[in-house]
Amino acid sequence: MNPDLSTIKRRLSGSGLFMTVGPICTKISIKFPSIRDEFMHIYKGYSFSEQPEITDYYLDVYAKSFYRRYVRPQVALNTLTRNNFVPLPESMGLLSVEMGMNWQVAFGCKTHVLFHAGVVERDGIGVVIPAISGSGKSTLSAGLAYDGWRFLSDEFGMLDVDTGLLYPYPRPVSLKNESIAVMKDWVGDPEPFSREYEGTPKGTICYLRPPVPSLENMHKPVRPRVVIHPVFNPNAKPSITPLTKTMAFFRLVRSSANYGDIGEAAFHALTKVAEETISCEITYSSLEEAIALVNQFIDENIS
Amino acid sequence: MIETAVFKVMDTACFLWHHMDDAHIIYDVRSGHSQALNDFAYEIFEILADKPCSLAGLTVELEKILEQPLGDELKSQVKKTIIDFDKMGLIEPKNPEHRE
Repeated sequence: MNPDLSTIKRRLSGSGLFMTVGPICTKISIKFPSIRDEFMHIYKGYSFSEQPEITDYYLDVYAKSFYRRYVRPQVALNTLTRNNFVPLPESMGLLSVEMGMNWQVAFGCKTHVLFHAGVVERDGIGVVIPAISGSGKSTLSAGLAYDGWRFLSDEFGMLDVDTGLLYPYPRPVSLKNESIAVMKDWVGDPEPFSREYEGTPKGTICYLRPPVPSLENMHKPVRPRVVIHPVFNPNAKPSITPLTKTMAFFRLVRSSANYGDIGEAAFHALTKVAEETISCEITYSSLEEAIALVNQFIDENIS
Repeated sequence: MIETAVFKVMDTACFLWHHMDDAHIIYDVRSGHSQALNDFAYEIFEILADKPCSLAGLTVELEKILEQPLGDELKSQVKKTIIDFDKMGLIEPKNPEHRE
């Protein structure tokens, strides 16, 4: 059970609050009230505690000096392993929090094979959506999540090498530029969105909290059955191109952040995923089209 | 020197295999690299894993398997595969000076 709100705020502003998302527990402290408020909004419904058994990561969001706290306030990060991130203005503080958590998972996680991928699930069918930036991975994952699918991840697919199951890591979805309006229209309710952060190196960014049922099931893994590589092209005709098992394997390797670090176990795990899943590339020009293609591919290939 | 060198597989224990419908995937535990070999390249690797072999010896072995002489195109393909295997670190000359 979560601590009460006043305890959460006290711990978050002081010695640190423990937040568990899927298999990962992070100790977080935020010294800026405005960033705390934004954090509390976008992480509403997540699991917090005062003292878990195991803590994986640590994130301290602070000002390096009294001057930088109150005059042209600037946000610094300390993750215990690194404290020299480029500081951001307080107005972009939530981006620092998200970046700090992403960085630690991307470079620190050795317990799971990580894919740079969205992951969703419907009727026990785990769908991995690996993609490069700009392909529409986040929009498609979020679109499916707000269309009745369970959302497991937007950024990191986490594969357990022993069980071959995908573990949820349902952090808020990072939406960029045009996809923000698309998703606001798709969701139809402004409440789960953060405010928009303009002028970042990636343009405008807005975060979207996953649906409540996805958060309630954040400890329930799923078996991967389908891998879909999205390609967004505003001028393209919708299409589905099946991939061979070998192509599927190498695309998974390419999307993994820690395949080489985990080594032999990752090789066996990914060959198993490639053998046991069906894979395709979809080309689409709108969210509605992409969702229709995903459903079509699954309906035609999974009984 | 590629024509005269005798090549051997470095250490078969370093390599893991997974055979798929259209390719043989090899994983090198030393580097963490994975690569796909087609049937032809896999056959060449298997011959070298069985015993060290020169390019001429490989040609003889492949001709035995295929039950016909290798044409010029296939011979140059064998040579290219040997060079690629050497670059990938899958094989090495028995006498290292033969690499030069």
